[in-house]
Formats: sequence, structure tokens, C-alpha cells
Amino acid sequence: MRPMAAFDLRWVLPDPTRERAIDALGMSAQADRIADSLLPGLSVLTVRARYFTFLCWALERTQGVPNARRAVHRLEAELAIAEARRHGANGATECPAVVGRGNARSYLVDHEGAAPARPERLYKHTALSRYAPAMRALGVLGRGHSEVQPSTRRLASAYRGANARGVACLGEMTSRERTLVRQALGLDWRVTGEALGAAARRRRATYDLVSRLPWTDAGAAAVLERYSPRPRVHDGVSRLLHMAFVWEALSCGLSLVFREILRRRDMAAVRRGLRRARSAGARRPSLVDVAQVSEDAETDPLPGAVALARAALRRGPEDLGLEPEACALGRLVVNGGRLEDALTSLVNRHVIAKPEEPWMRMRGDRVEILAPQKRVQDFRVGPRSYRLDAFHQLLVDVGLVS
Amino acid sequence: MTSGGLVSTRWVEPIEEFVRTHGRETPRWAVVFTYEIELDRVARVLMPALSRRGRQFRTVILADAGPLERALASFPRTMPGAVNFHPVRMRGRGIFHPKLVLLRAGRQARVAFGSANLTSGGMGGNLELWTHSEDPKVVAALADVVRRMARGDDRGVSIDPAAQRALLRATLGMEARPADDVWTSLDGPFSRTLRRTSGTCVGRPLVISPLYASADGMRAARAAIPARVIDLYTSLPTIVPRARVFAYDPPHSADSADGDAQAMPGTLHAKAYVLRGVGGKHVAWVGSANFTAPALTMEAARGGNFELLVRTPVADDELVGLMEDLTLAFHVSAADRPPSVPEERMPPPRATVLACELVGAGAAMRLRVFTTMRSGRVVLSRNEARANVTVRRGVGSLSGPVLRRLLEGLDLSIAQSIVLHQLIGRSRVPVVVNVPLVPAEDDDGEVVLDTLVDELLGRIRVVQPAEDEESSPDDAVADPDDESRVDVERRLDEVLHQGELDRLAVKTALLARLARRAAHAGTGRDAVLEECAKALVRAAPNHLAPMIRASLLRGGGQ
Repeated sequence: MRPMAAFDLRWVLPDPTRERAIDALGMSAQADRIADSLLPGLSVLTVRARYFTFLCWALERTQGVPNARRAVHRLEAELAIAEARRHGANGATECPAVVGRGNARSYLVDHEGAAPARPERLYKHTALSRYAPAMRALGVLGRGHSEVQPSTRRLASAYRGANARGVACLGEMTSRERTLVRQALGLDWRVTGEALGAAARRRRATYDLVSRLPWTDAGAAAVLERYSPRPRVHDGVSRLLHMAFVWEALSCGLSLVFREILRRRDMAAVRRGLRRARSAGARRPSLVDVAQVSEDAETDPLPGAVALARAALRRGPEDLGLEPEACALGRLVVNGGRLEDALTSLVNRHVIAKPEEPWMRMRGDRVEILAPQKRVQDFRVGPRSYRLDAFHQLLVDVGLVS
Repeated sequence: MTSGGLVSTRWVEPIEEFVRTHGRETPRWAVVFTYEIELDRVARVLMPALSRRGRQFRTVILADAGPLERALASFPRTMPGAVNFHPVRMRGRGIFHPKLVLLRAGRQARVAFGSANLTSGGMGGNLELWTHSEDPKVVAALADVVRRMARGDDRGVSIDPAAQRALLRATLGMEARPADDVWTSLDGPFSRTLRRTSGTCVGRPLVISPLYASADGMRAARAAIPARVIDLYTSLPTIVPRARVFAYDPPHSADSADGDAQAMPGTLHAKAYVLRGVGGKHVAWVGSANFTAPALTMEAARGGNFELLVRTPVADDELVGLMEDLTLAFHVSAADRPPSVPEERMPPPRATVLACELVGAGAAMRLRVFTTMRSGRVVLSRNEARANVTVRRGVGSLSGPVLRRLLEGLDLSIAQSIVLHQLIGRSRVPVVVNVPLVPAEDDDGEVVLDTLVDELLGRIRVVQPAEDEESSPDDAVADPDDESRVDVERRLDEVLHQGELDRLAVKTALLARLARRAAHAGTGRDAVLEECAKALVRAAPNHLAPMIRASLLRGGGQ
């Protein structure tokens, strides 16, 4: 009898187009387009440079092994365990963004330091799934069956060499590893002209500008805030950062109003609050402070929301090429349109963004919450990072900024 | 799922990965079988995945006629991509229930299958099992299932001729042969297969299925599984003879202290039959068949459902992983009587029109109407326009000004499928109209040939509205970054204004080349060459037929 064909049994993960829980108003697509222009190929998840060399090493090492993906998962989970042991409770500050380390640490604490028999079961969302798209875009990984290629082997060899020299922590890199990752990112200045691809040129331009800025704990929000005035020098990156500021001001303004609808569950109360906010002429909160405005139970967030949206609309978002429907909605909410229409349009935008699972529906002036309570409570309003935070950490790792 | 257990994957991931890896190859086809369908999921998830970088897959979606009719009520103005929808009607009370995606790009093929429909529930809203394989044996067996449907071998299944042509063409040149690892209810009841293959089974078989059966139905379903006791993991607390029952009661992520934990879906829809074997030789049948009598004990030709299950060996650690997930999400049933259960079956279709196809272009455009009745009359409508169609031998036809009025205002330059309504009494019942992906036998010879050339080149040609009769190569959407393809298209452009014989000569040479890319040497390639020869001979003057055949065999042979 011939042997049976084998395949893995798998559960279905929720579809991300249904799942984008945070993007209640469908504002992320525009932000993604700006981020793609600023830092093509990277993502908010590609935070640690050494994962590029580590994963190349892991992929090379597991080539030809049955179920290679699981073997890579095991290797990266072993790394997470080693990191959890190395940094203990201080991991988040000493060596941030190690995939699976939180779960690894919990396991070690619960089992008196003993490692699990199947480390790959500690967590499901692997570092490989987070980094592989960027690795492909940067050309250090091929596609499909031939994903390990010469550039993969070079990075793998650098990791192997570093490991042999006892450089084990994800936050430490040898100079060879750093050089290779810089080259992959397009930040090797020996490469110029046509040899540098279009995407690498964009990343380099973003680096040129961002590396000159003082980096604070506020991260990307502070950078965007610097670009709130229309830039005098109109180079591509300045314009993109200005666009990002305008979009975030509009997005945060509308999201704060939407959050108030969820919180108060009474459209009449939100209308009254918005009417007051329209005439109050409050000062615009900085993007750095938006999260605080959103969280502070003592403060009415609507004046800040109106000020943010007005600041965005004063800067001519349509002329910048930002999504006109959202701009029109912003005008309706803050500039004297009928408030009933404005709030209905805001709720409609939410329903269009989440057609299968809207979080709420209106029953006259009452708001009926349909989403689980936890999702509504967890809905935070804050500016997006446009991949700048992740990029900054990569630059720190490869020694280009301190 | 929380840590531990089986791997989870997005429904669309096997499709995205295949398109990423093999999307350059041609011809590109996707065949989808589903019971329920949500057109929003098709437009937002499936078609974007199948149109990556302009490499469009010709997509044929077969869904049960009842759910499809309901879905068509919310048909968008435009459906992106080259997709045709075909309703399937089963004999008696049977439903078309398989869940399958067959992807084919040139010589490469992949199948994805499991319990997930093409709905938001299937894409993670429910707990679903969904897996994929490129194993030649499994792919060939599922290609065989597709081809049997296309040939109309199975008397229990009715599909329209455009679906038959598309399914045949999608699997043209692919190896297709039945295998023990793939069961469909076309082959007989699953209970028979299970009895034949469960000889070395030890311990309690493990059944995962939502509960759709009444008390009697459960007894009949239980009798289909040859074991003293089974472990049944199902959606509701119930009692089943000679079974330990576990009811689905998943934890919520909010209750978990695990930061990486994901919420488990609230509804169970996965189906699997796991048989434990000696020495870790466990096997699992996964697919569409619920733990009900129609699914397990009836064959399609006798009024049962069309079900599909695929068998795989299960390693010890995989079984441990599965059991971990089941232990987490199910609790022992404390019920002392069977509950009243929901029926999965949706209302049957109301339309007597099975499907329509729009053929020809410009003034020669006509609508073919395929019906479930032998003869009679149907009334089609769109907005205010109405048209009476006389049906003879199950087919009606409409053309000329009446058809133009019916289609007025529709942008046919981008549509591959649209919706008209059949008037039944005072009701307007939606019926699908496809611009067929494969022309009919009696279509114009040159159209048939050009469609084949486009298909093998990976181009999508769009329908020309009546006032714009001149077809141009610009109307076809091609892979934007394939240089060799650009070269081929340049050659086709060059001969566009030359004589008929020059065009035929170029197309003959081209088809011979493309056939080599489309299928492996052997019977598969011979089948592609045969199809090419047929199309060329139909488009050519009679006296050239022998020369064309000889040229193709010389150019495309092994």
C-alpha cells in the first residue's frame, strides 16, 4: 500500500480585514501608504536588527529538515528563553522587542527555571512571520522554496561567527553583522547611484532626515509634531512627515469623538459636548499628549478633538493628497455642519470600516454596543508611529544612532 | 488559540503563498467549492489575493444554489477580477457542501481544503480546520473530483455548461486520478469508506463536528462509525449513544493571563474524524462532512450531500497538540437529553434559472439562459427593463435590442459576472450572469482561439460593449513584469494587421511554446496540445488542419 499524503492540521486564524480592531474608522490605509513611502519594506514589527541575521541562520540551519517552519520556531523560542533568563524582569528596558520573551519568562517563573520540552509552543506569532516580509523586501530572503540564497547565507555566517565569539544577546551585534544589516537596509554609503534601489534610496533619505533630529522618549509622535508647520524645505521626506502629522491630527480628532460616542452611549450628550467644543476654541493638544487626553477621565476630550481636526483641516489635507472623504467628514464634525448629520456620518464610516462586526449601532439617540466590552474599553486613541519607532531601534542596533 | 496546540493560519495564507511563489506561471486558474458564500469576502479577501501584481487568476466559484441566491441579493456594482459564479443544485434534499480551493499556475498546483466556507465565519469567525497540500497524489485526486463534476459523470449534481467548460479547462493538462486519501460522497457513503479503512484503529475515534442532527439523526450518524465508543467534540451539550460527548465552551482571551493569547471563536464549525492507530500511526479525515446521517451515510447520487474529506497521517505530537486545544475549548457534556438543534441547510433556491452566460461581443452579443425546467418561459428583469425568454431543452436565448435594454448602464468593460433578476410571481429573485471564462463550442472560432491564447499567456480580455466593437490588445490585462510575455504580445501586435494565415502561423508557434509551460511532458501536455489543435483547426480554413496538427506536435512534443 502506498504511503498516505501528509499535511499539517491547522486552525483558521481570524481574517485581519475583520480583525483590525484598533482601526475603528478605517484610517490606517492612508497611514500605511505614507509609511510605505517613508520606509518601504519595513514594518512596525521589524524592530531588532539582529533578528535579520538570527533568522537567516535559523533558516539555513533548518534547510531540508521536515517541517522547517516549526524547527525555526523552536530555535527562536529557545532564543526567547535565553533572553528571558539573561534579562529577567528588566527585559523590556534592557533589550526590548524580543518575540515570545514575556511568555518564556512566565513559563520559567512557573516552572522554577526549567525550560519547556517544546519551546515552540510558548507562543504562536513567530518572529519569522513578523520579519520575513521585510527580509524578502530587503533581498536577504528569496521567495518560496528557494528562500535561502547567497545573501541569506552571508547573514547566517555573520550570526554564526558572532555566536562562536560568545555574542549571544539579541541587543549585541558584531561589526560584521552590523555592516551586513546596514547594507540590506541601504545604509551603506559605499553603494551609490543605480546600484541603490528605489526603496533603499527612500530609506536612506528618511534616515538622513530622522538621524538629524533629537530622539526623545515620545518617539515618532514628537517627530511628527515637529512637522506640524508646512515645511519650508519641500523635500520628499519632510513633505511625507508633514502629511503624516496632518493625517494623525485628523485621525486622532475623529477617533476621540468616536470614543466619546462609545463611552457616553448617548448621541444627544455627545452633540451637546461637541457644540460646546466647537465654540470653545481650545488649544490643540500636541500629538505627544493625545494618548493622555484620551485616557484622562477628568478632562473632556472633545475640545481637544475639535482642535486637532481643525488644525489638520487648516493645513489643506486634500491638497496634500490625503483621503478626501475623511477630510469632508472632519469638516462636517468641526466646522458648523448639522451635528446630527456629522455624527451619523462618523458612525457610518465606522460601519463601512467594519461591515461584518460594527462595534455599535444607533437606536435614535441611544447607542447600542455590539462589540465585547473589553474591545470597547481597550480602544485607545493615539498617533501612529509610521514605522519610525521601529526604524530608530534598528538604527540603534546597527550603530548608526546612539 | 493559546500557546500549545495546533498551528493556526489565515484562510487566505495558502493562496497568497502560492500566488507569491508560482504566480508567474501560466495558465492561472483558481477553482473554489463552497457551500455558503459572502460576496464581500470574495471581493475583499479572495480576489485581491488572486490578482497580486496584476497576475490575475481565472476564478471559478461553485456554491450551493440556495446560499448563492441569497448572496447575490447583495451583489456589488462591480466584482473585481476575472471571476465567474456558478450555482450547484443537488438531487433531492442534498446540498453542495465541499470546501475546496484548487490553484493551478502552469505546472504547479496546490489544494486547500477543510471546513471553512467562503464567508467571514469561515475566515476565522468560526473555529475551522483548513489546510493545504501540494502532494501530487492529493492534488491529482482532487483534480479528478473537479473533472468528474465538469464531465457531468455524477447524476446527483447539476451545474451549467459554462461551469463545466471552465472546470475542464482549469484542470487541462493536470494529472487527475482517484486516490484512497480523498473521499467524496460521489463515491458512496463515508461510512463504507470508514469501515474499509479503520481496520487497524485502536482506542476511541475522535469526532469533531458541530451539532446539526436531531436525536434520530445522531443515532444514524453514530452507527456510521465502527467503534464501540467514540469521543464526540461538538457545539452543544447533548447525549449520543455509545459516545463521550464534549461541548464547545471556549475561554475568552479576556479571561486569560497569557499576553499572547488570542480569542477563540465563539462558534464551532470544524469537522474531523481522527482514528488512533497502533505505534503512533494515527490518521485524520478532515473536510466538510458533519456528524449527520446525510453527510455520513448517503451518497450524492441518491439524494445525499456532496461532501469532501481528505485523509492525512497524524504524528503523535500533532495529536497531542490537537488534544491540548480540544481540552482547552471543550468541556464534558452534562446534558441528559438532546437539545433542539439549528439546521445548517439554508432555504433552497427559488429561481428556475440555473445561471446565464453572456457571449459574443458588440451587436452579436447574446444571453444564454440555462434553466432547471425543460421548456417554458422565464421573465428576466433589471431595473425597469423586462425580457421574456422562451426555454427549449433547458436553454433560452436573448439578443438584440431587448438584451441591450436589459443591460443598459452596466459597465461590461470590467465585469466578468453581473446579476439580473427572474420575476417569480411578485418576487424578484437574483440570478447570476457570467461572461464565461471559456467560450462555448459553437462560439466564433477566432474568439475560441484568442481566449485560449490569452489564457495560456495569463491575460484577461474584457467584454466589449455594443458601441465599441473593435477589440484591441490593450483591453487585455497582462502580467506587467514578465519580459518574455511582453515580447510575445509584441509579436501578436505585429501580426494583428497582417493576413489571417500570418496570424494563425504566429499563434500556432506560440501555442506550441505555451503548451510546454502549461503541463509536464506526457498525457497532460498532449491534452493541452490537443485543445490548442482543436481551437486552431476551428479558426483555420479546412485545408490547413493537417498542417496545424503536424506543426503543433513538432513544436510541442517531448
